[in-house]
Amino acid sequence: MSERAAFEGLKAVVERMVTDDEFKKAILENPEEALSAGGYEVSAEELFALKNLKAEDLEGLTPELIDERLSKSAGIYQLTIYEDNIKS
Amino acid sequence: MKKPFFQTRLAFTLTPRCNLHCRHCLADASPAWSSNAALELDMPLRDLQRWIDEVASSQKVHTISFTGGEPFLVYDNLVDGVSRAAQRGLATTVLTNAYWASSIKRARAYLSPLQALGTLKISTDEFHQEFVPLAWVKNATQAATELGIQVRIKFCYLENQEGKLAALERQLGNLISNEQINAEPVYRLGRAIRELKADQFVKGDLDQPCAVANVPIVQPDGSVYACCGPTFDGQNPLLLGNLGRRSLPEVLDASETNVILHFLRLWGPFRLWKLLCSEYSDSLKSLKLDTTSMCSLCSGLMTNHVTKMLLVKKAQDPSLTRQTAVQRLLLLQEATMLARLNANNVLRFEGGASPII
Repeated sequence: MSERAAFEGLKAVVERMVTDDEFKKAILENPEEALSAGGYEVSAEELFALKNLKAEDLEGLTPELIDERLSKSAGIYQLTIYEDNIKS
Repeated sequence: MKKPFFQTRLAFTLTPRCNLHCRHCLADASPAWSSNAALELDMPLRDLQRWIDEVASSQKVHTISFTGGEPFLVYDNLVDGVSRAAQRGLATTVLTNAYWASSIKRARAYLSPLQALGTLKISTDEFHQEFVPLAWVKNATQAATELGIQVRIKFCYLENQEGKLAALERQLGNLISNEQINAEPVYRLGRAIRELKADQFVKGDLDQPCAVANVPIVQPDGSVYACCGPTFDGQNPLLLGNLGRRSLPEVLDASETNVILHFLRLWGPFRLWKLLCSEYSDSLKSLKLDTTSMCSLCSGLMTNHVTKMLLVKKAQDPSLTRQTAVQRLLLLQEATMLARLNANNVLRFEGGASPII
């Protein structure tokens, strides 16, 4: 699996965990089953990390927290992204 | 938003020397460094070659930036480094002041051996133009374009200088597009602290995550720092290691568990400062740090002996470590730190090789 595909898989998992309590519970109880049921594909390392999430880790995970982080980083990452679009 | 891939770019400081003495230089580079003794401060070619090979083998970094000082002062090493990196499939950029492009003929002569170069990034603004006229920048831009090398312009500005950027865009308009000009404020660091007045600097939003710390930089002596900011004062939490003791992939890999580095990437220096203040208010109540910009504040945090000591202490806090690892997974979709936290049960501080006191 490519790095990009892995990122998008995990991103989609996190986005759903924020808005879907049942899915969040399922990830905490049995991530492999929850991911499989949802059709998500993540890397072995990402699965290992998800397996070790605890309920208290996710208490602060709210749409507001994610929005805050993304809004603050939106401008500052532009330059980095732009510079990555160079020829090899 | 695209993911800001961590450490996919890496910079080499080929030399700390510069032929210019710009008033705003955050690296404090200067011709005063150009004595014979200072030549020993250049990155040895054999080390550069070995480190490029290590980077290529790591399969993590895809772009190498060559910087300084002024990297064209060590021209033979620059040409060797660019060629070697390109042969190994790495994209390359060089940051220069274009002093070598006093005519289009000279510009072509300097750039022809660098045809493998991906991007030529040229610094020009009121400070550089005290030494290097814009006509030379145009020569370099034209020659690079002829050779198929992309050009970026790095323009630094002070408060209320929007007009200068617009003027530069007009002056270069027939050679490059406005999107190729990267404008950034002058940071109140290095020589700029001494040469410019405090109210000339653009006051930036302090409360932002740091993107610069995605790009580590290798100094000529083999020290690897998490960013190009002026924290090259030996031991501090952004010193990732030294290539005399470990290979480049090992140093980069170890930085995956550097709590302070990743806190900065997640939330930035302002929140780190607030965190320290909330927990160590007695130790910090009389300390004043420069809050002109994120970089100024971060530099203060990393160089003040009290804050450095507190940061080392904080980096060993299991709660902050876990919180940082979890937030990397959830907010940046980076799993390595949390995976290792669980594999090793506890993370240890991966800053410098010896205690930071």
